[in-house]
Amino acid sequence: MSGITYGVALIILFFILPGGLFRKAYSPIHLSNYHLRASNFAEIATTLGFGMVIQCLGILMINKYHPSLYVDFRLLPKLLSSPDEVVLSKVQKHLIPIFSYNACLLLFSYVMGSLLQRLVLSFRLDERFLVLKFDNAFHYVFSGKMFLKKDTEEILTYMNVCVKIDNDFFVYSGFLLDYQLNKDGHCELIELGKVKRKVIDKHNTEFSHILKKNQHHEYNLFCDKLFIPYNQILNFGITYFRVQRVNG
Amino acid sequence: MALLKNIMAFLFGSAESDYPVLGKNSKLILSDANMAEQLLSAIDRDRNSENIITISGTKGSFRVERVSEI
Repeated sequence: MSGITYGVALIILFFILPGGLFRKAYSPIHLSNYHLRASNFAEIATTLGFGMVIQCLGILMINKYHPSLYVDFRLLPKLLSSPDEVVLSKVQKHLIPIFSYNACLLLFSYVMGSLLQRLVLSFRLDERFLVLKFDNAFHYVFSGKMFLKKDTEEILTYMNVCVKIDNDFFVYSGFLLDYQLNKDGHCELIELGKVKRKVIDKHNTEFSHILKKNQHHEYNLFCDKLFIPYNQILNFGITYFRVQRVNG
Repeated sequence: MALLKNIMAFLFGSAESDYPVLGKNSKLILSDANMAEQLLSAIDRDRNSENIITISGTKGSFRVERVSEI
């Protein structure tokens, strides 16, 4: 292998993988629509940055606290430029410690990312600091958690969703139970409960005739959950309710 | 056992959402037909005001307040 091939492989192993795992753990798809785009310089630079920080922490910890292991990064420039037989044999000799170190470092990155995410969510730091805010706007819009005043409170979200089916417009009103995201982190489906359906515009004469006959312009739907594909929604309104248990 | 479950969920991810839209109390309200009906009636009755209601059912009493800080 040439120096460039070694270099790319080493940069991916030492910097991109730990940084990428850290970001993946910190921003899972529920909280972020971030996904690595090769053309996006900022994404790669951020991932590399996190990777370097984690790598530095790993080296400091191993070199300071491990009795026998020592991470020698002076080999890296040699590997990147023109690896000779001496350097390669040195790497070959220590393959198991190198592999173990990197495996532990990847696990450490993932755990650090998850822990930081839990801390940010527990102390609601994402609502205070823009830099910690998660990319997924649906998380904030649907949960309404910015309106919570106390830890004992919860938010119950009531939605009015306007959907067009053929030539008729329907408004579905109900409590938001859950929502699903697609692999890109965009909303795909919302789930409503205790749903009422109301027809607000009727061009379909046959259907409107049935509605008029039964006088069911607004009626409860007999279902536990109603799934509405997000791409069929024209717009929606949200009312938030703060819920708290009353003692006694 | 619970610890093991938590570790497994942490490492492999949980099938349940970590960030559910509905909280524990909200689930109790919606699972109780009587309380859900009380809440829906209050919403229908008083759509435009900042209302606070207390609803009661077999699973407890809950104070429900419409958010007005928007």
